[in-house]
Parts: sequence; C-alpha cells; structure tokens
Amino acid sequence: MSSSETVTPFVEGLLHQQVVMVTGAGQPIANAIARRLGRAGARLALVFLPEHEQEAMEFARAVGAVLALACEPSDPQAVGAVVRRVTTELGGVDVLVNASLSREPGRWVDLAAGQWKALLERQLSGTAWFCKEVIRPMMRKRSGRILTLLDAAPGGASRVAAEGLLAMTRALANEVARQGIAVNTLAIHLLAEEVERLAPAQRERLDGDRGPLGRPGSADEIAEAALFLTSSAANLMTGQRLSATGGLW
Amino acid sequence: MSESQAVRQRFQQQAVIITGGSRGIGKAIALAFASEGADVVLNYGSNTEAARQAAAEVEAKGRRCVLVPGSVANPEVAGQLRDAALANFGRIDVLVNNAGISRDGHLMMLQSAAWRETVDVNLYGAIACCQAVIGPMMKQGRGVIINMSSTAGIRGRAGQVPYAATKGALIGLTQTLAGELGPYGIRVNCVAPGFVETEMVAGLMNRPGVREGFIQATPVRRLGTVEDVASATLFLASPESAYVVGDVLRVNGGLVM
Repeated sequence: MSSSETVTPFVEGLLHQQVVMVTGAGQPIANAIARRLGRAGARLALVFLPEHEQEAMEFARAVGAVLALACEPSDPQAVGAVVRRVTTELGGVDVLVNASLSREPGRWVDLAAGQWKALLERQLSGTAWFCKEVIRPMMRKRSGRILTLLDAAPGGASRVAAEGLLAMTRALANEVARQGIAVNTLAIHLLAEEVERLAPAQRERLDGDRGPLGRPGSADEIAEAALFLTSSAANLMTGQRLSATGGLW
Repeated sequence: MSESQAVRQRFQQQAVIITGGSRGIGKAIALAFASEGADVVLNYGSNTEAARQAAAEVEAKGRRCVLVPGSVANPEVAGQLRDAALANFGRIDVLVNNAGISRDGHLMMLQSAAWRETVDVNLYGAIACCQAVIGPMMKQGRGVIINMSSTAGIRGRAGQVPYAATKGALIGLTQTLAGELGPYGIRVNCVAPGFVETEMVAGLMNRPGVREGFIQATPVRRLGTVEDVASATLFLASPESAYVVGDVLRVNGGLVM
C-alpha cells in the first residue's frame, strides 16, 4: 500500500472487508485478537491446533468467522492446504496473524528431547510455513501484512523460538518489502488471564517480574497493539519488534 | 598467529569439543585452542581428508586431537562427542557449537527439505550437543558453551530466512541456557560473526560486486578472517570473560551495530 493510500477514517473500519487469518484460535490471546480485528471490519479465517477444536469452533461461531480450520502447523503440507482453502474461498489473504503462541513455563534443561523439538517444530517451523504460504497470494495483490507474536520472557523454551522468529521476521521483511508486504512481531509478557490460572506460590514469585507498569497486561490490550500493526496505521513499519509488555523489554 | 597468542597458554590441560571443525572458522578455532594448550575433539560432517589435515595441524602443536565424523543433525553424534572427550581426556571444558549450513533462497520458493536440513544442523544439532555436555559440566562444576550465531541472527538477511531463524534461535538458546546453567558454574555465550571468507560464503562472494559491496559496508573496510572469530571465541572460553554471560559478541567489523 503506498503512502497516498493511507486512510484512517475511524478505527472500527480499519480492516474493512480484509481477509484476516489468525492462528492459535480457541486460546485467549488469539481469540482477543480475532475479536478485535473482526470488530474493525475483518473477514476472519481462524486456524486452530487440532487439540483446540472444541473451543475454537465455539469461538468461531460466537465471533462470526467466515472459516475455521484445524491445522497441525508443523506439517508444511497441512499449512499449504489451509492457506489454499482460505485464498480460494475468500479471494486471498490480506493479513496473517501468527498467534499460536505456546506459553509453557519451566526450564529448558528440564525438557526432554521430544518436548523441545515438538515445541520448536510448531513455534518456529510452523510459523515459517504459514509465512511462506501467504506470501504468494499477498504478492498477487502487492499488499499484505504479517504479524507474529513472540514471548518476551527472559528464558525458557519460548525464548529460543522468540529470537528465531525475530531474526526470521527481519530477514523476511527485507525479502518482501518491495512487494508491499510488511512483516512485524509483537512481543508480549504474562497476561492477567494467565496469572489467574497460576497457583498462589507461582503468582507470588511473579511480583518482581511485573515490570515498570506493575501489573500484567490483558489479552484485549494485546489485541489493540495487534490491530495497529495489522492496519494501514502501521504502513511504514516492517521488520520491527513492538513490545506490549508493560515496559519489560 | 599473533605474538600474544603464542605466549599465552590459557587452556592447558583443557578439553574442547568443536563441531564442524575440519574447515573454515571451526578449524581456526581448533588450532587456536591447540596453540594455547587444549586437547581437541573435532567433529566434521563428511570431508575426511580436510578433517585429517586439521587433526594433523592440531597434533603439530603438541596437542591431542580426536576426530568424530558425522553431521550433528544425527542425534547420536552429540553423545559420541561427549563420550570421545570423556574417554580420551576425562573432561569437557568447552563446547563450541560451530557446525552450520546455509540453504539460501527466498522463503516463497523454499523447499521444506532445505528448511529441515538447516534447522536440523544449525539449531537441533547445537541443542543436542548442549544437552550432551551439560551433565559432565555440572559434575565438574564448571564449563563453557559457545554457540556460533551470525549477524543474520541479529538483523536478518533477505534470502536467508532459514539461516537467520536458526541463528536467531541460537541467541535465544544461549540466553536461556546461560540463565539456567549459570548457578552451576557453566557460562554460555554466543559469537555473531559478520562476513568471514570461508567456503560457506564463497558462492555469494564470487558474484560480481558482492565482495566489494560488503567491504564498503563494513566500517573497518575488510571482510572478517577466521582468526578474528577464533580470537573472540577463545576470549569467551577464557577466564578473562568470567563475568560475561548470555552475551552475543559481534565480530563483524562494525557491519551491524
């Protein structure tokens, strides 16, 4: 989209009629993002992990998604099939939000080989497959936006994926910028919805970890940042990492 | 070899594992460690002749060298490296995860096999080697792990999505393990070289204008040498960097700051 096409009439219509694909549906963060982008006018194609089918289908009905598809992200063929179905039925993909973020706590050294591999196959390789598959339909329109969520946690398994995704985003942003495709990341930290589920002892340990803002964020606040990065308001941003973490890096 | 390296013996009686060590940066690191007194377990992928040559050069410095063939993408190789170090030298002081490949091309055209190969070697191979040495290093109460990242892992690079993704993930791995293993006396750091003249980048560098372009983009106006990277690696393995933990040491002449 060229600078002259930047129009921000009012926030509700920012994504009017745009086909927005959100992965990780059925989980709080992806749901909040999908809901917010839907309210901004997007036609939603939700993608969910096979194990989240029930929650995802319920959410898809509630939010009025046009499509809701199960997909194992570590399988490149499965990802290709899902993206083809979305482009065929909805006429393309304008926005991809990689919001299938695993937030498993715990130390890396405690993970067995099978565990870290499964995690990275979904988080890192899986995200690469989604990005790869949407580039061609986006290139046809000479416009598109890809947003990948990252965990800003200072350690743990998700940090390995996060740094990989960040470098991948910067590489890809350079590859596709001239085709009108922007690729960015949104770093998030522990959210109120997740804190609620923690045991009291775990919650206490977090007190030093709340950052400058002194409170956990909410999925809805993440969704606002996601709306910005997926809309024409962020036309000049690509290859960037935006932190919606309450001041934590 | 510089004079200061010749007189220093920072790694006497130490055992160092280096993956991807038959050529390029890995070989330079092996020779630098050997020059300063370390015995070496040298892993290599397939070039037996080059590996034998590297081993002979280590031995010419009066040190021992054990060769362990096989791609680190094979999960058994990590255990073989650990066992070779313990059986021959009785210890593992340093692991340098240097083995790396690049399968370049735009993501849109990427074959899944090319991604698979890159991730298996650059990331999963390094992870497997870390896991293999953590036990012995914890028992020793000390150890150093150094992962070879890249400027691509910091800033990305068009045409190298898989390479950048794995090199970035290595930075995340470095920081995660540094936090978890610090209390056990194990330091984990990362080296991020810029453009170093090795066989891996020869194809790129031979394209017209590319070499000159990189030189002009680099403030010190030259490409990196394998010795530049080896010096930085030895610093991170030495007691001089005792308080450097979870860091990414950029060795790129200022190309990416």
